[in-house]
Amino acid sequence: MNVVPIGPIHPILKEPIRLKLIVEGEQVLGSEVEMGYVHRGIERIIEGKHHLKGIHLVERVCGICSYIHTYTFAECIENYSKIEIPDKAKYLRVITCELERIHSHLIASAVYNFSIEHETLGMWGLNAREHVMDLLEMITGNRVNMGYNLVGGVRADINKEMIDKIHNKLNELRDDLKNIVAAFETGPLIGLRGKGIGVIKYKGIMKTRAVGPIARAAALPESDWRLRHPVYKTFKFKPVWFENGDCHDRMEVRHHEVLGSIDLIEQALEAYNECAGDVRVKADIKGGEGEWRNEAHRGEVTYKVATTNNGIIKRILVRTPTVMNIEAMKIMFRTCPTISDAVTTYTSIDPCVSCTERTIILKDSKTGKTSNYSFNLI
Amino acid sequence: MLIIYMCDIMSSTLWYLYEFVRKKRIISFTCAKTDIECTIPPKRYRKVPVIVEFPKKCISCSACKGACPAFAIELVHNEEYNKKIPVIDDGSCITCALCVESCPTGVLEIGSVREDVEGKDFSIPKYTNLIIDEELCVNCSLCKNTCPVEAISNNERTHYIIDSKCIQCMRCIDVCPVIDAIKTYDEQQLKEKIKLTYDLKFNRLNKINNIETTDNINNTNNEEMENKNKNTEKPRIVKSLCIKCYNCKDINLEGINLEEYCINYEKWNRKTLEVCPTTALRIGEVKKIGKIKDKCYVVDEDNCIGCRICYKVCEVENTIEISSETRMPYINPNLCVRCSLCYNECPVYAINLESTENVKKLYEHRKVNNEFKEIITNDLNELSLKYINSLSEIKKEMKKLNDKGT
Amino acid sequence: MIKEFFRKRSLNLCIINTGGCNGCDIEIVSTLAPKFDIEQYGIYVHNNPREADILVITGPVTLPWKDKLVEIYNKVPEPKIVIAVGACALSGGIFKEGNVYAPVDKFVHVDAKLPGCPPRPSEIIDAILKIVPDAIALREKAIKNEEKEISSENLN
Repeated sequence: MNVVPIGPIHPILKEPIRLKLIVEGEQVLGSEVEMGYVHRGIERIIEGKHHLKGIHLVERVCGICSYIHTYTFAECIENYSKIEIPDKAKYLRVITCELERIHSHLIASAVYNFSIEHETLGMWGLNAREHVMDLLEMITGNRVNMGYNLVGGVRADINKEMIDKIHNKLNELRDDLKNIVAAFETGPLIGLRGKGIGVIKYKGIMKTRAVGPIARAAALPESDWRLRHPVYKTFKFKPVWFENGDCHDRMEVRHHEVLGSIDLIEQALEAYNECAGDVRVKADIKGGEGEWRNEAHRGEVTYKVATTNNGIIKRILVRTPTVMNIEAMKIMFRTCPTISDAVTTYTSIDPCVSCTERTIILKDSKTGKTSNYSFNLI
Repeated sequence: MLIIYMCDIMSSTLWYLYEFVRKKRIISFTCAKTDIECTIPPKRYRKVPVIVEFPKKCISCSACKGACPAFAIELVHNEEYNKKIPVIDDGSCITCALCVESCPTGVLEIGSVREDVEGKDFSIPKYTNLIIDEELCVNCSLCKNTCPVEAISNNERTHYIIDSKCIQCMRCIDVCPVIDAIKTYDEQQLKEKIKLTYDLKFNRLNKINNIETTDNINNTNNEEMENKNKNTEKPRIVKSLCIKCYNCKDINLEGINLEEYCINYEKWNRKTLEVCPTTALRIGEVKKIGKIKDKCYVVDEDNCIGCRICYKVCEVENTIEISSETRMPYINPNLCVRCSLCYNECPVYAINLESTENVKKLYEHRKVNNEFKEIITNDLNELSLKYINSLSEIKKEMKKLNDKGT
Repeated sequence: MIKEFFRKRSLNLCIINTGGCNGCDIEIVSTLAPKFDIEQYGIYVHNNPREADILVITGPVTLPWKDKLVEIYNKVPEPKIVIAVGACALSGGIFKEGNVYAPVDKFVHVDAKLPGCPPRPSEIIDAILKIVPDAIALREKAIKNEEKEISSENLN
């Protein structure tokens, strides 16, 4: 039995993490994950700060899914202080959130294609993503880490020129995406590298509690938390799901979700055109605490916030989806014939390491002892 | 099958050759250049760093310094404009534009933020927060008149600060006459208090499982019960200072009710006093002490008309008293806080500012005269009572003797 | 075939993420897109420190990276230049009060600095094109002068 390390710097990794693979010949038997390279102590820095400074800190938990963290934080405070935000702000938040979901799924697809050594599809994906980044920069002012949300609404409004440009760019994006999906589904080599590798089915998901596109690729459409959100309930949309649970299906779920998000944006724009008024409202925050959940790009994210009477944050708790998704890898490694397949499986779950770096403490319910959580996946 | 496969490969290679030979591809292959379109950003793009656009409008209030989450702004004295102007560090700025929206006079600018957010509601983030203590406020309204953004207003009992408008310029603290009537708490102090709360809370939960240390809690409770029986000092909550942070309730779950601000004295724990960040939980009295010590206000008795408006307006107890000899008010310099309320309200301008030693001599003189007169009137009242009683007794005796005689 | 021929003759670039939020890394990865296209200038983004010419460092330096950053810097062969990108690498950014040991200046020698949170891809390409040719030439001269001094000392 030998140990092959995939270290903090690797051509396919975006973020530093150390994976130690235990192999016999070419077959992977298990692995051990070592984290801690990205821990900065955000939950300790944020104690005692004003809630607007808190929004800019929470954005930098992760750079790829930065908007959904501020969305959940603002909605958590608005829920327990009973603040009603105007209708225009609700639809603008939905538009920006879905645009960011498209950009995150296209980066995941491009990185997966680079790991299969199919560079053409990777470059097509990166080029299609540029339409979305132009739109985000036009509405909010920055491509990532936007700073567009406030407790009580949104920072600025959009005018008629911007609405026409959104429609044009979305039509171009739809044409580009149909080429990519057609090439992905019918290419012979892509199917060989992806089908039947890294399989996880219904029993495995119930055991490790995986969320997001991994659960939806194994026939669990109720894991989409957008079905329970008060604004998304007024739109017509259906969650996407597939059956087999391998690497190929996980990528297919992401491609079809992009097409679904384009429809949602067009419905939200129609609803926005019928509203009038301002985009912000005065925020009267009450002392207390509350909890809120939302559907991030990789799964379900939970926030718990406690504040004082004039808006100073006392304590915060963040639980991100990659914590459970990395656990699901131990079942997927049983069907990986080679080491390069193990690397492909790792990129297909779309891990976001800087979301995961919080301290986790486990408590045994029988003896009452506490200990730190360590990721041993054998 | 093979023939169809070969035709597939032939057609795709032909398509690739056709695409390569086009003129556009040959030009861009030989001469490498990026499109000019993608280097021009849109109108709302925020480029680092923030620009100081109108330095003449700056009032040196340091609102931008307190609003920056990355500590990138410093106020430095500038020779040309002869005042302090903000200087921004390039390497720390994260282009959040909180300083641009917090400035009350519109000095800073980045991208097109100022155009997009004109006239909208915004609650200003700060490093130091200010709050007024209602047991020490004398309602002199000096802070309300000095505030440059109109963030202070009042109700019948006290003045209060509106938190979303305050810019932490500290001018109200410089003008307030009473020491410590406006209290401050900043981020560093809040972090220490929160850490202390959670240390006490979880150590206490662990102590209940352990046998040794439960004796300590029982011992402290016995000591407190003895102290309570000796002196009747009871703790109380000041409403205007409470910010509902629930630190006290984390340690003392059943002893405090924050909806009606009342305390259950049997379950009280002395450690709860150390955890409040604004000293809203108190035991004992607080005294109002003035900042100015060398001068004091005094009533000019030649001009006073005896209307007693100053006596009714003064908020510090027992400072202005009416002398029974001259029927005019006189001021006690040991208790006066020099808030200038009586000075502003007197209709004939009869109150002046003089050195404290002169006022003390006048006060002693008046006080001694007052006491002397009181002693004399008391004695006179007693003697006249005795005189009337004895006179009525003598008259009765005389009547009895007269009746007996006849 | 043509790809391998050209890639052997290009400058190699290695990205080191010392604990950042990934915003700056995404902006460097999106320079590969055909819209901005960094490969047309002869720069190959391949994260191998043993073959690198340019090191791009992002992120505030967290506790496990304190000694590893210096080790990796010593393994890279000469001549090499270092570019620090983003507000976190220059001064710690918004994480100054946390568990970080910023700036990168304290651990390795830095040749160029790019502020922004994060900087746009066109600004990154602009900075690399202006600085890299002259900086590598200066570095080679400095190394040759050092070698001449050391050999003249040995002779004496």
